[in-house]
Amino acid sequence: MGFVSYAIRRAVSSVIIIIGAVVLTFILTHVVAPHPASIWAGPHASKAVVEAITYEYHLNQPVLVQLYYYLIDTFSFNFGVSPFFKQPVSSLIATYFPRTIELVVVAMILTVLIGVYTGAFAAAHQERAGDYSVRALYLISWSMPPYLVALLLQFALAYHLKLLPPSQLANPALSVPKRVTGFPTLDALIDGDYAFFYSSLRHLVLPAFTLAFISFGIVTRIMRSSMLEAMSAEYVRTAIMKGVGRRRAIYVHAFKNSLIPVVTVIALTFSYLIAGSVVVEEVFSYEGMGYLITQALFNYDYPTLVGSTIVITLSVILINFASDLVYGAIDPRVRVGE
Amino acid sequence: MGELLIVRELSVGYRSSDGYSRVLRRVSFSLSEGEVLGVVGESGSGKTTLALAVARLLPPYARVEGGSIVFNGVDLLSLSEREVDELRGTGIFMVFQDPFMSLNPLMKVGSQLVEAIRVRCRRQKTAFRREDAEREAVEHLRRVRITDPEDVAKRFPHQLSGGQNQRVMIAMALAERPRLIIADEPTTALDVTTQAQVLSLFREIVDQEGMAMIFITHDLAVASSISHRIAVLYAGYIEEIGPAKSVLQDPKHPYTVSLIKSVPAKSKDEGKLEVYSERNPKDGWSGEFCAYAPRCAYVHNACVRGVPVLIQLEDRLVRCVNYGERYE
Amino acid sequence: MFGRAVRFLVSRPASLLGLIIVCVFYGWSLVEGLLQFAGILLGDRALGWVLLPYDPFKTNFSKALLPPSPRHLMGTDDLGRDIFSRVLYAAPVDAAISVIVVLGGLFVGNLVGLPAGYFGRGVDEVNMRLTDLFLAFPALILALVIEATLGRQVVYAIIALIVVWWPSYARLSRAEALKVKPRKYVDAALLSGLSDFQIIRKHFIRASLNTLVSYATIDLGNVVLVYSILSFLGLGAQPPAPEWGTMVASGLEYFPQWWWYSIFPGLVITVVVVGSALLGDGLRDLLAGER
Repeated sequence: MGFVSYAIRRAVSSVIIIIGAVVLTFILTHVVAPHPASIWAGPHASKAVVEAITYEYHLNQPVLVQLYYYLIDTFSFNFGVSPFFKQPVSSLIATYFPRTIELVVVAMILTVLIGVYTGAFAAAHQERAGDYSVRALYLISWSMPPYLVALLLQFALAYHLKLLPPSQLANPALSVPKRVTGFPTLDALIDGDYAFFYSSLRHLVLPAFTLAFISFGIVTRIMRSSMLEAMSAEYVRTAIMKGVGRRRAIYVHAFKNSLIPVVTVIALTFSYLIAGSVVVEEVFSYEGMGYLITQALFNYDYPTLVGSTIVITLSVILINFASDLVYGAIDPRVRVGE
Repeated sequence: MGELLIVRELSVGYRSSDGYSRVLRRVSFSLSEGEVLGVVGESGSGKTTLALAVARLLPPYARVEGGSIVFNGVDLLSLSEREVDELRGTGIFMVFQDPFMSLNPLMKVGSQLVEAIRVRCRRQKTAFRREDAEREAVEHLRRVRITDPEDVAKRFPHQLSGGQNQRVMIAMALAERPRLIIADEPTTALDVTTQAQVLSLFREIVDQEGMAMIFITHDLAVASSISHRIAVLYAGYIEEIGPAKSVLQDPKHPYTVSLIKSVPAKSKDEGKLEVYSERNPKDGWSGEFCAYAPRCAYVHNACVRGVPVLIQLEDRLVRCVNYGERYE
Repeated sequence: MFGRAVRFLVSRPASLLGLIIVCVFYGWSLVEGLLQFAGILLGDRALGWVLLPYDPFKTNFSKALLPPSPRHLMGTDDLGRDIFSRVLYAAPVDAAISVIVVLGGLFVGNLVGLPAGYFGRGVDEVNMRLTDLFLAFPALILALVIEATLGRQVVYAIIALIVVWWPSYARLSRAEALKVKPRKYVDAALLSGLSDFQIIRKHFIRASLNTLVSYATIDLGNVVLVYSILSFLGLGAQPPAPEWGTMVASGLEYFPQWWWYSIFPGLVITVVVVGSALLGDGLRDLLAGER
């Protein structure tokens, strides 16, 4: 019962933030913008087009009226038409976003695995060589710009060692699988197109590793401090006293308890991975959301940029909500009041 | 011969940022099977350190300077970590003061009991079956008088009261059937009514299972209600040790006397005296004479000539020059 | 007190390294920045490269894309310009932006966070909801949209970064305010009739600054990093002005064969970020010991 009321509370909070974020985006793109009509119409728009856009997006109406239309549009996923791609923004997003989700999911798994184990390792070797090397590693990895890591990995593994493909989603010579879910790798699996599936996986490796490399430090840091705290907890002492053995006491009792703060960091990591994907997809020419955003930037495609921003932000908020639920499920203490 | 535990000349010190302080000084006592020894002392007397030392759970910044802890004929201090592990739980079991912190907040109480049962099966080389163990866990909970044990077994520690959590710890002891239980102020964190209940439970279990127990407390009355013998600890020294009833009715050492005087404790804080600390220069104790002298009502010149030894007097040992001027 | 701080930092290898890197970076940026500024004022831009090995703007197609050598430490770019000189020339911009953004973020963040912690209740609720709202956006994405809306110039990049940065400072200063609030001298000050504003100014700001200083130092490097990503995406200073991120982007089409074009600016950024992180950590240890 405690969990249900907790989940409801968290859901309400998330909805409020979603509405707030959309309103904030509105304020930025409609109120703060110096010449909304010309930005929305695109740089090559003629005066006639600008006027048409003004009419269509209700840009000459009072702010509240604009807000009304904006909210309706946004929540029905109508983000306007891209002046560059000449398509509805929502269909662009529907094509490109799933690919980034695939990338981020793989990167997230890598990040958590690397982070949790380096963190536990550092804690177990506290203040000794192992600890210091882990900390030096994540300091450097965290400080490297995403494009640098991407380029170095690309150079070493794709161009030099020729182990992996240097760019793109999959071998362009292969035909694209039938669209079922929109996730290319998944669709290839469903379709039975193993050539594409395999190629797609190979193309995921470098970008996912790049993202994981710049992000794992967050997880390592929190896992290490959480583990150190857990290792000195009294229930660990009780476990040892009972005779379960030092290894089980640390790797089961302390470890399990130290995972909790890691869950809170996962949502933050997701946010960081998505932001990083903008740069990483550009370097690897991986045609996902990040790539879409950079194209939108280069070509002054404002509607696409704004639509992408909203979709991405909404996903981050949802991921936050989901991780709160997981957190509540794991740690029974959290459900009791707030 | 027949002694389960023989502690001889045990001295322990702690390293800290301010330096090094000695917490136990050449403590010696013995314990037979099924016997309960009450260790009474105030904060800083070294009683918890004694408990941790015997249980081999001392923190890394503690140093055993000397002495021996012979359990079942083997000196625990000479054993490796792995060898000591074999004794943990089924040989020596420790109950800590704070029941909430002692249990894993993320595991159901029943699972933690099952874990203890698994340890016992491993030691005894008997087969472990989860369903049997779960049933056994519920039985142990019933034995420690927890109402609705099946339901409680599915709960988490924070959903239970302090008294219930401490009973869970006792149930764990029942599951592992140790030969020696060390209880470090197990009732201090509980309210007065629960204290009495848990105390009587301890008495009952120890009698029925024939376990030996070292019961640590700051409350002389509590100690005497549960112990066969009592040792009074002050500044790391055993000042008096003898049969519980006679120590309570006829205290010999001035410190024990002062404890008795403040015994009609209505709240658990009343029996507590000021914290003694070797690092506190105000106490005026340099380590070269009787530790209690600065606070003693019967102090005189002979008290500062040296550290008194334990003297056999009637049915007990006392460390006080008022009964004989012999020094270390 | 300053001397003691420096001695502390110097005594530990990690923070010493950080101190050196930060001093070299900001020291150089200060000198070079003044030269560039004086050059503009006096109408002689060449002042800007007096200290540099080469003129960062001079093109020379016969020397295009030369690999690193003793004469060109970081090689040359596609227009024959010495990359090392361009990197050095671009440093002051990043240094200045990092300082402005961090100070701006601190200012706005404290403006929101301190009253939230001090007054509590309604003010706290409103301010923190606002903070949460801004934090819901991934930092880079928010900065991109702001700049795309306002215009692609350095000034707007700075504004965008300040908007992205202030929420974390708001949270921090609120947490610090909550720590200071129960202390005795606050009650004493209230009783003595000081206004809320005076109390905040006198006690809370000083207390929060202690924690925030180490955090802000680490952030200096982070701002350089994020700004480099913005300029990588074309939202920073426009060519031919050298800019670390822009240089990496320009070098992409020459990668991997002429790898030095994109790699070196990235390495320099890494060094700056590592340096500020080490220094910030050192400061945090220093200030933690002071308590």
